[in-house]
Amino acid sequence: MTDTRPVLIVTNLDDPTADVVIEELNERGTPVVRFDSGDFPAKLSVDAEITVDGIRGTLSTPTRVADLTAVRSLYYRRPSGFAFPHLDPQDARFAIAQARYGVGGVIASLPGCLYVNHPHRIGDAEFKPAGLVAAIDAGFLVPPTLVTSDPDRARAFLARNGPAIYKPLSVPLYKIDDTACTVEVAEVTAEQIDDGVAGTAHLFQQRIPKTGDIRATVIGDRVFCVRIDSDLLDWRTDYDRLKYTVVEPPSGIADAMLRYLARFGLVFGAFDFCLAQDGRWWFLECNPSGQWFWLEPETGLPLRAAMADLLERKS
Amino acid sequence: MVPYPVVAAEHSRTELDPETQMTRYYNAVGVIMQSPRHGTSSGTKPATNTGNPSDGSGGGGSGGGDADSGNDTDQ
Repeated sequence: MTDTRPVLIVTNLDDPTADVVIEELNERGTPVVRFDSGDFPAKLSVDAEITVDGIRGTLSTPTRVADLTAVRSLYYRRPSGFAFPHLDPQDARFAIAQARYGVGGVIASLPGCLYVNHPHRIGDAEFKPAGLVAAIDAGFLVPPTLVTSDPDRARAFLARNGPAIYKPLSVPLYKIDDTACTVEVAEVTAEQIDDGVAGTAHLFQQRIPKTGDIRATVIGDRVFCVRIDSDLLDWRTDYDRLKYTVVEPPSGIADAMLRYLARFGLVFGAFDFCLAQDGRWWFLECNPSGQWFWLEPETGLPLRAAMADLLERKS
Repeated sequence: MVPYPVVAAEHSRTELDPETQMTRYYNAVGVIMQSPRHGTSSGTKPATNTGNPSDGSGGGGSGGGDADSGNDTDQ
């Protein structure tokens, strides 16, 4: 029997990865409802009643209506976020909070829906310390790591574990002259540590000598591993200097990735590993919302089909 | 601090195709363009965000009202 339940795609309008997934689902005849939570309330509405039988109601866009009890899956991509620019800051803050916990709360509570990934689980997995602890429990090699605001502890760690790098724990908007900036992942020595470290939390991690990087994309129970060769410490800083090779993971790594995702309740993850000189894979991080489609034209891996299979609940 | 690599947008307007649920990209003179199909971790504009700790509903920040990210620097 044909499954008529739609796939919900939650994202902003400028999301080419969502478009290629929707294109694939369209070709398969699978109904899609796309919306951006930032369109609420002008172009998105939610009408939900919580009864003894559970949540029921509808989610409506200008072009589609979804029955909240019959959503096949939800692909949480990159929504623009709730905004009420016509209100003063205090009223806007109130309205945003109501939208977040009301509309967001309904979207997060759909019965029988497969979330790719559930937005709350994404939030959990975006904490680097939690990810590193989960990685160790899953069986990965994890470089010695320190999170501190104590300059003396930082110096001692770097002296003992160097060469080491500094990484931001999160990357919020930071503008200089209206240009968005980030902290470069860079090597740091004990001599470079000053009292500025005391100002907030910092993450320092031993730098593993590497021969290459690995990006492993897990979509449902399918694992796609690509070796990335470049002369960069952080390959994400220049895509024009990268060479891609499809590789098989060492024994146990695929299972460890699935254990890691299960720990957070995720069904998708973009894992970054450092490929050491002895061939072992060192866990760096897993992004529960990482990009992946650019790897398909580079490698021929059937990522888009795998994502469509997952959203259709065939895998 | 260094500028995050940003893919400059070539389109001037977007809209949702009601039939396909895909985005139509228009250039400065209103002609439909091919989708940019980036999808790397390079920064993208306009502002987007993924799940956020403590809210997860795309509310722009860690649940406490932080300013929304003006760029998607997620990989």
